[in-house]
Amino acid sequence: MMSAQRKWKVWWIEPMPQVWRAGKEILEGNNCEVIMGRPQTDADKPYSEDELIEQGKDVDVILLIAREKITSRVLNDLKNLKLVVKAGIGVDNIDVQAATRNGILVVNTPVPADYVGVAEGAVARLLALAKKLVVCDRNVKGNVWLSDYEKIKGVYVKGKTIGILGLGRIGSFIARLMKPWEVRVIVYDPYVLEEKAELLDVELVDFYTLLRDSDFLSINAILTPETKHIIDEGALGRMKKTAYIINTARGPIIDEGALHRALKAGWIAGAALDVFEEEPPKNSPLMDPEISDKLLLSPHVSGLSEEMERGLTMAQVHCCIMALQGKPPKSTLNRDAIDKWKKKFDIGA
Amino acid sequence: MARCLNMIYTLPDNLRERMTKMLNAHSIDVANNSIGRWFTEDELIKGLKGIDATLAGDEPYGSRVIVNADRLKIIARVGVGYDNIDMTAATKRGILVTNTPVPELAKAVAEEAFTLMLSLLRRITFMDKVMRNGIYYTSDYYSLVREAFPLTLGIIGLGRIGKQIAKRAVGFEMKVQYYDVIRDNEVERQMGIRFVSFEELLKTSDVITVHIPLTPETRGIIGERELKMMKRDAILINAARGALVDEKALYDALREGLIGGAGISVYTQEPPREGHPFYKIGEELGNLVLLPHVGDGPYSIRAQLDAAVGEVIAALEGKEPKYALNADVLR
Repeated sequence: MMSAQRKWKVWWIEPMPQVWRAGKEILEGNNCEVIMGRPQTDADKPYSEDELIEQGKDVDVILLIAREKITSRVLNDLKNLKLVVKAGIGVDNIDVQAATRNGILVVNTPVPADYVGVAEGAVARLLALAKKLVVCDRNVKGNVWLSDYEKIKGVYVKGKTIGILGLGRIGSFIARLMKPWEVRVIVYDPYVLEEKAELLDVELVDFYTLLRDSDFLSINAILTPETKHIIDEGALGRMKKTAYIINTARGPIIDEGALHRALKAGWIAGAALDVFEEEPPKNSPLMDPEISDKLLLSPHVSGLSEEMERGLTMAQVHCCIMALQGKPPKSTLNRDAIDKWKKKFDIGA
Repeated sequence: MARCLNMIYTLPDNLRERMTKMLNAHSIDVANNSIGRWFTEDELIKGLKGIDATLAGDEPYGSRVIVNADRLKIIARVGVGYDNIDMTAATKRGILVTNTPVPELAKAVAEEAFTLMLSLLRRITFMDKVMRNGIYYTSDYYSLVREAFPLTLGIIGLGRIGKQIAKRAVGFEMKVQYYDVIRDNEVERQMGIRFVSFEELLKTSDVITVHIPLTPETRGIIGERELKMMKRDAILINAARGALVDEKALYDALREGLIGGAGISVYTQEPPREGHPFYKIGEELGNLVLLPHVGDGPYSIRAQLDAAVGEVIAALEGKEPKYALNADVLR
């Protein structure tokens, strides 16, 4: 077979620490030359568009996460590029239409370790908010016991309404994890069928009911023009004063300026954010110390664990090898690009 | 008119009014603990003069208190544990003791224990702190965050609370094992959990959570020896009673990295005072998460209070209470 002799240049532009070594070895054992980029820990040093075009000019494959933006210019200019593999689900950093026009496959890695981890991370944050964990921990450790009772008094999760925005893999898994807690689960997702909701034993509601009824609102949608700033001042104003928001999806789904105003004015009780409009959130209004007790922060790690990293990294490697062998990976997102891909690069049967 | 002393100083106004109304409707007067903490022994001896019933918190009902109580007929503990009450002395004096093992309480404690577990696995407090210090990413994070689903949860004591924890953990697809003095084959089958010896539980669990009453036999059941038997990355949760765990040994184990972390909401002293290993501990141990002992309080307090008030009314009207711990005093 032709594909056996083919050799691909793989640019791993955002490798996850530790686990990449095993992945690199496998790729090298499968006719790939691997060029390592800046590790994931260099979160604030993404390759610029020019750097991507300059340094990527003869690469066949790009493996990435969320740090770099793969724009149409990058996709038009990299003439050898055949495949972009994103570790994780959301591909809002990739211009998928431009990729399709150029016959480049865009693939994500929906491995179980990923969505389970994010779902668990979202529930962990929901509970931490409910029990005022950070304030409680700080107070007890500083010998402030019950004197600040109103601040440390949490809420009982049982009987509450958990709202989920987006019933994909992660949202569905959160619904499943929360079942034994005797809660009502409501979901807004215009793209989901009634059957799926029934199977998961959740209620599909409209967006306004979701805002009005949720005691805990978990954001699990992908970022699209439709979901960008879907949680804005108007949305926040419709929520309960006692409600909490958990965002482990994408920062720009929430308008941070509006959330800042909402927390300051007490429109809602608090929020847990793992993602930000700009990461790291250097200039975010949310770093305002005045609202710090209402806000639980983490550096985009809700899905992070060794288990998950291994899963994602190996899935990226697997997709790359499949494509090299002429088989479009199962998780190819722009399947309409496959014909052009095969013709343009003379791939497969 | 009979008089009831409410010791629960943390009651919100609406619940205090509700309790007062319920008792007044049965011609029972109510006085409240207004000092903002639990009574000491001496304060309790003084406060119980002319009192027929107490809605009891953590104040100490030792034999001195009981012998000096001139009219006391019932100690209605608002809560489950009653290690602060000398049961022998109370029974001898014909004082009824009740508690409030309502389902709400078991669920509230389960929520608290589970919150502590997930917070430690996810390093919730640590992550928040690094963000506030402006450190966005360090390579250390990668080995820090753990998922629950591949882990084994060991529950010591499969009572009402233990079962609620098991239910939630099974939902997370954790492997659940338990140790108890009584084995429950039925629950094992229903929930798909397994019984192991105390020693095996300590050695093979990734997360260990304690849900047993404090008795002379269980005091210090988790000490240096037990901590040493645990996995190096094991997480210990205690939302039951402080004295079940040797706190000094736990402090040492966390410092020396004998175990991975601990989540605690109960203490031998509440609040911990000078000399207590967790007193003003500040940020010394990043793998320790502390909550004040209110765990179930804000969530199930209404259900517990209603139950305790019901017990006081029943006892003072000569009826049998629902949750009597020494029902033989009635006979």
